[in-house]
Amino acid sequence: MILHWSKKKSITGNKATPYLRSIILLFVFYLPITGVSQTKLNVHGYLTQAFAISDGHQILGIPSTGTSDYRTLALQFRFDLDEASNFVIQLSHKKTGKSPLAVLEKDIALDWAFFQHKFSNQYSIKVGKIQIPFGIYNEVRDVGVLLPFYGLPYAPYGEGGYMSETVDGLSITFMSEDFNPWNFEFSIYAGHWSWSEWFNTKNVFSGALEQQVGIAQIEKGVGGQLVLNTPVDGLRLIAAGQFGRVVDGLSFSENGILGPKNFYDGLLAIDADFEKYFFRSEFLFLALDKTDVQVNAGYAQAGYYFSESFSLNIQGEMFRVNYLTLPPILSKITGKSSFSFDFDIDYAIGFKYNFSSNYTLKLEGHWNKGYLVEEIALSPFQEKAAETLYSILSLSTSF
Amino acid sequence: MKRLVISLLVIIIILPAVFTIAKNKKGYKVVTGTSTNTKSIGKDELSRIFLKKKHKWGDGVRIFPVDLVESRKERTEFSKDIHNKKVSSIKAYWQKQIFTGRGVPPPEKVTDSEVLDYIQQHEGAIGYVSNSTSIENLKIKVITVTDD
Repeated sequence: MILHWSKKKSITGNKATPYLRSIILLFVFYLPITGVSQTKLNVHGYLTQAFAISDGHQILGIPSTGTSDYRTLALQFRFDLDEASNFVIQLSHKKTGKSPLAVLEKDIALDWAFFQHKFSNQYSIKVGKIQIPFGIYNEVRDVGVLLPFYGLPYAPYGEGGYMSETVDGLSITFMSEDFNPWNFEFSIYAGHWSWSEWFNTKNVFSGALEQQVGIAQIEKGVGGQLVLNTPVDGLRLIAAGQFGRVVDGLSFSENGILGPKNFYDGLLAIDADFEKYFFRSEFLFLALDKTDVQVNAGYAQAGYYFSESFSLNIQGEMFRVNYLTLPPILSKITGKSSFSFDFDIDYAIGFKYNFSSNYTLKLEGHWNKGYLVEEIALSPFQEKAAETLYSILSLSTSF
Repeated sequence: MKRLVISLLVIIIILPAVFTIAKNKKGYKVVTGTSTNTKSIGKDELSRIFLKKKHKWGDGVRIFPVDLVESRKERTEFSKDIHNKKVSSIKAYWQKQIFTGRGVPPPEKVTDSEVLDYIQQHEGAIGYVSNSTSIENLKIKVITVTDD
């Protein structure tokens, strides 16, 4: 699917949705006080509402005038059919300010819905629309109370960064129990998922900005993840990988820049969460078959807990694209046979204050250099990366 | 003089022990139904039960752990003592379990009497209440927690 327009307009929403949204917002803020938990049905949810502003360029949907149209919200319903089987469904509402990808947002979207059965304490299966176990954060990417910053690092989790939250298919998980103090969890999954893509171009005649948005489909996708819990309490190591065929969208359609391609990626992560501090880092490698394009992306973040309520967090991330051999036209423009550029570099510092385990306030500042700016078209082959400062103030709750 | 030295020595030896006993005296006691065939339990096993990593007693009866709410000081002490973690860390663990669809936490009760009611209503239930709470005339017993 490709959406193409020069004047942005919403393709979602109707007259009823503001009322529906208000009801859900009230519901989410009311539930932490009352709680809804029964033997057969459990209702949980989360909400993060933010105000974000940038110093000049528009980036990640954040304009220089600021936006409060920046939130994530979800309601989860879990039905326990018996001791071993359950059905889980999660509905969400997400707003990303003025992001080009905002046109893909639905007022109420189905996050995931799956049937889960535990054959034993070790083996379980999920069937349906399932969260992809990939790295430290992919399964909890919007749960604000759990995150040190408002959002996840663009590398490797960014919208448009070759990453999906869910797979339509099945997953099987094995959890070891017999290797104390070491134990591990291994998951494999297969099915179909999708990536969102966007980029800016200049109209060759008028010079006007044109934003292009597309959804690439991953067919016959398979993946797996190994989480190794070490004897050091709070320290775990993760290795993950995926393989599939990408079609459609902006780059991978028959007439796209790259055409249909096989892709494979791999991820290594370390997650250390201790009494006084935490350190997390992930590194992603992605390659497209029969092209000379590779992506190396990663981040490191650390935090110090001054108290149980208050922490200081820092983060650095990098998303690097390598053209091992440039196509002739690009080689002529750059005068080089190969080309590498940092698509995104971002450094952040933030404070997090927990009023309780269920209410969290975050204030963060980011310095970004790259090609994620949204109000102009920047070519990495011809122009320098843009520098942007942006800040986000957010309040999160969950129940 | 000899008596004074002996008395001082006794005080020096006994006093720290008295303080240690006082310090180690827990503010909570772990309780279960009288039908549960368990007299004592290790800290590690108890932690696994409250994290829902262990689901059944030795005789196959399903375990129903019941917690106290975050604001109760017994919850803080139980988390530190049994899980060796802050309550906020345990809460974060459950938020991850919930929002990955893996599981939900034990029910949380505000008062000790609610915990005791829950245990009497659910065969195989286990919880903890304040040390000063009476369980007389209830079908509930205290089980000893060992250091594994």
